[in-house]
Amino acid sequence: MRNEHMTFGEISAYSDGHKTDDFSSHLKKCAKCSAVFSEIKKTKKFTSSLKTLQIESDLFDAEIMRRINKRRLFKKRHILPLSAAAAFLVILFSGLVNEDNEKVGTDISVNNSPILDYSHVTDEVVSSGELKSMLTAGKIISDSDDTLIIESTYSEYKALMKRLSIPEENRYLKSFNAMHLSNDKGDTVKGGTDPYKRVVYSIKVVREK
Amino acid sequence: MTEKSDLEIIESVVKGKVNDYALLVKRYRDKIFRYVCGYCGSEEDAMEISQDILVAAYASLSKFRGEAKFSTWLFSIMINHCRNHIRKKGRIKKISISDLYDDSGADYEIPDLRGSVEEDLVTSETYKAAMAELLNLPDDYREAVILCDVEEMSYDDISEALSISMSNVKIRIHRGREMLRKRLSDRGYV
Repeated sequence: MRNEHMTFGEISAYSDGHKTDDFSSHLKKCAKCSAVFSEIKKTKKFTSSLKTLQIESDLFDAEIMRRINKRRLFKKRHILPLSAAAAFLVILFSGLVNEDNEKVGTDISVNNSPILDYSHVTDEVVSSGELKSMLTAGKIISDSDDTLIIESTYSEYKALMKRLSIPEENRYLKSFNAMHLSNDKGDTVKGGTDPYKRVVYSIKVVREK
Repeated sequence: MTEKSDLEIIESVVKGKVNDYALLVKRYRDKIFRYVCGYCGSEEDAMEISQDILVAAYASLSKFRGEAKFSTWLFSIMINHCRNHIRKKGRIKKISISDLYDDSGADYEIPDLRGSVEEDLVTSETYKAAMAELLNLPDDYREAVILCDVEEMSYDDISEALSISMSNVKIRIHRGREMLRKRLSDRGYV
């Protein structure tokens, strides 16, 4: 049996399954090495809590497939014959010009709703089309004159507020989803906010005429 | 019906059945997301970066030769992508566990890990604390620790994914783990 203490590296490798009989019998008898082994197991347990993270929404997959299909379309266009490619460039160029014009125009949304101007709360001016594209896991459920009500995941809510720089006082989170959890003693403790829970919130907006 | 293997799906995608790629996305999205969360420290950024990784992997799929496991090849792309992200973004902000709970207005208690190792008490608070602590590790150590403890990869696969020797893999994992253990021990978590 091994008499001297194991190194941290040896105990760490042992915890990953690199076991030898020598180490096993040493750990059974040596309180010091066994305590380190136990701490390493707890550290690994702590780190491996990340394994609970999951992507909940199929919209994540849909967005990837949308981007991939867009790439394919672009590639197909690339292999058009030269004359057709030249014509395509003209079309593409005019498209870009139009897009640029639309950005300074009054209405650029796909659904004919006006530009949403957050200027009284932030410097952002965003079209409703752009806003919709920011909501991969969410949707606008109500669209009145001065308020938008949106439903999405909590993490998307946070991302949207950050992206639009909307301060706390100009947003209203209607359903907050603090979790109630139990600790190892069975007591109820206050939990955090589940980033994947769906929440409903409203944002004040000003519509540009 | 048996599930298609990674290689069968890749073959089908390369032959033109592009929508089959969704099967690979579904199979690997969570693993990628977890790594990115642990490496970059932000769930919000991680969603976007994970999508970028899976789109980048699709773009390079025809270059996959099958010499390594697909998962190892995909993880190499993931690792490089995360490194580039951090490089572009500048150094990430190091945060301590106590800084974690200031932004939502809620008052939190961090779950007590002592004595709970044998139980499956893993809460969102635990993984947030884990993300924060991982951010305090040097990048090299953080990569190795996440691949080993979160992705449960073997030393061999980590060596291939990171393109480093086996002895370097061991050094990075053990040193990273030791740093984590000390920090957690100072806070009374282990």
